[in-house]
Amino acid sequence: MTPEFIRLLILEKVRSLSFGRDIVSALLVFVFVGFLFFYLVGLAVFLGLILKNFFEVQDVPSFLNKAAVFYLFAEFLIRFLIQKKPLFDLNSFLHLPIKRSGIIHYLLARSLFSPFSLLVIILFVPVTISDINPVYGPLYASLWVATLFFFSIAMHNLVLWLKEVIDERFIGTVSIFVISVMPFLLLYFNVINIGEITAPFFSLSLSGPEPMIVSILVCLVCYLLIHRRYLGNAYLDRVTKRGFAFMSGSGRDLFSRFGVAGTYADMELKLILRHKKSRGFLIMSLLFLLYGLFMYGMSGSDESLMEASGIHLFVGIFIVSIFFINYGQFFLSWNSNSFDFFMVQQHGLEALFRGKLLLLIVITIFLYLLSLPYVYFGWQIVIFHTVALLYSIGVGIHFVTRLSMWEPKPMDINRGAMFNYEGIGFAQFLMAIPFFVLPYVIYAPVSFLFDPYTGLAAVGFFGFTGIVFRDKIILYNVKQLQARRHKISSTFRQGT
Amino acid sequence: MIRVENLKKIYGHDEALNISDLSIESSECFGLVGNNGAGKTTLFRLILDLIKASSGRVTINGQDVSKSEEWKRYVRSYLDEHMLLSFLSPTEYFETLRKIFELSEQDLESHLEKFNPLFNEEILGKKKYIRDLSKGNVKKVGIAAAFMGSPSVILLDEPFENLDPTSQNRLKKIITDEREKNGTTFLISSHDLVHVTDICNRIVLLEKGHVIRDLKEGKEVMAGALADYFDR
Repeated sequence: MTPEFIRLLILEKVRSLSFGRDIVSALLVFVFVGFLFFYLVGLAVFLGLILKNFFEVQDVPSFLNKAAVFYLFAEFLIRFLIQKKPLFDLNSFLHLPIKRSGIIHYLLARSLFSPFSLLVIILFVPVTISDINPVYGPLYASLWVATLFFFSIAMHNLVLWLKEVIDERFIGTVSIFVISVMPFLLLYFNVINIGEITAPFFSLSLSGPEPMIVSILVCLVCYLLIHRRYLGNAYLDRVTKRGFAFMSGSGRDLFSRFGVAGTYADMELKLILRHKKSRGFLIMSLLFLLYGLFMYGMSGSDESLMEASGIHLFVGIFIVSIFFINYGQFFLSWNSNSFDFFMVQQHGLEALFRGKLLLLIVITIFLYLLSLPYVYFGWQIVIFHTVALLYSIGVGIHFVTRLSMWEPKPMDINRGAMFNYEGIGFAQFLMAIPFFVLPYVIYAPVSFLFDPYTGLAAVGFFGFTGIVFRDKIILYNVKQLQARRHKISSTFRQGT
Repeated sequence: MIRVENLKKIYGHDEALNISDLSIESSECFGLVGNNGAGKTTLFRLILDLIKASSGRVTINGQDVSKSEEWKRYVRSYLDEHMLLSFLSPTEYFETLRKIFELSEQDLESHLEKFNPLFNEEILGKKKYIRDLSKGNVKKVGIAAAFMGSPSVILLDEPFENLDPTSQNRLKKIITDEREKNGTTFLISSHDLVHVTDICNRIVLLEKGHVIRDLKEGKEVMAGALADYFDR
């Protein structure tokens, strides 16, 4: 049975939708992932040198022994945020005459095929070779890495188990977050250094196999834990169970005063709140509000705020329009499941388009209002953010919606937002230009010739012009959408 | 009412549909039958302007469907789940449509009352999204939505599929009532020959995108002709 399972695994990868995606976007994602990998390997190779030269670490092995536990906590948090549950594929196997337990062994083994499993190897093998091997010899160096590796695999299973137990409950998620950040906070505020406490354990692996045996045992226990849990839960109704959250707020229709477009905006708001991916974007936008704390908090005085006004305009655009860059980039793909609904309504596409615009603008203004307390760091920030708002809803939004009509891809919006490249095409990369390049085409020369205030005013005025002429621009974009309706709808129909 | 002229749909080198001339009269119940891949859904999608014709055109009351949107005011349809908003509950979905069609709350209420026997208390007032309903119940929601706002034309693709026998009979009664009361034109595709011959006064048989039979002769004759064709 095992070889057959392995064959299925390969077939699934090769035949998956993302594998056959159009080459440009696949290539761009590949380049992006390649860069990440490149940086990671670069960091790993020079880790020893970096530690010695930049952080002035004298004894690298003993530093690593202290750092190991922090690394594990960090990896745990990242895994918790990103790692997917493998159980969702269960329904394609349950009806076959294979033992339930065997299916779960297979699903768990398959879930190990992820970049995470290699993270320890990539990050720590080079530094082990360059700094531990010369002192302790190859045997103990490999024991040290193996200990870390098995802990990493143990965490893989532990995270799956925790996700199962917590079941997306808010309190559970927050406590996991707090627990995994705690060691770093304790260290930062000089309360206690957990690394000092656990260092003897890791240094023991440089003289004997006991720590590795412990880590293997932990790994096995975690594996059995999740295997038992899944075995008890391996029924279709458990797997496909979906929450009915956010239903309570459905009675109020926030946008009904805006007529038909308002009805569609209300619909879109429900769509955002009831799907994992869009909800993720909404939460991400709220988190990015804090971005200003780092940027504005660093510059001390009013003068330095204005000196770096170019950067701060960027920060403003980022904070105000992050939701709409994130959400707007898939403008039509969000509705790929129900595009035919809009096709058969009279003026349905136009209403959909206007409704989405309305919602995006309202959320953008909402984020702008939430960002206003930054005035605490200097009154100029209000100027940055107001200019950013004018530009975003006057000009940026029309570029995004126009680009989003360029070969949009269908998307399964029930999947999470993190590391989910579904729906990404070349257009999504082009969308960065109207937000992060075009404002500077205006701002840079004007502020160079006159002063930063005039530069900001020019960008704001540009945005204001867009707001004045919005009806004409929207009509033009709606015509473009109608001209492409057959092509877009047939792509959406194929995808889902 | 609906006229199909020299309509062709070609995918790559494969001809999916080729109909030179076909007219559907007002208040006709037009049944469409044929084996898988005969082009039934393709024809419906072309009538609804969901896909672009390779050549030819479809007109409804003289208007080319791909050039105006006026016909969408009185033509409703349910082909598949893409025509629903699956993240809404059925009640929310009907409410949304009520606003889009600009109906009063009484209109909606009396409309849904008509469908109560079909819904069998499993659709309305339940805390479930459409995406979480069973296939049969999803279909009931789509069909009920297609009857909203007294349309003069209704297109249904495989309306009896996935419905239990009781629901199938209740749906047949709803369709017949609607025709008698309002003179609604129906276009229904189905694999269920018994149901189609029961409710339709005209049946067109498609094979590989071509109209090969156009039957208008009355129930027994149509049933006989269809049995001959499908028993090959």
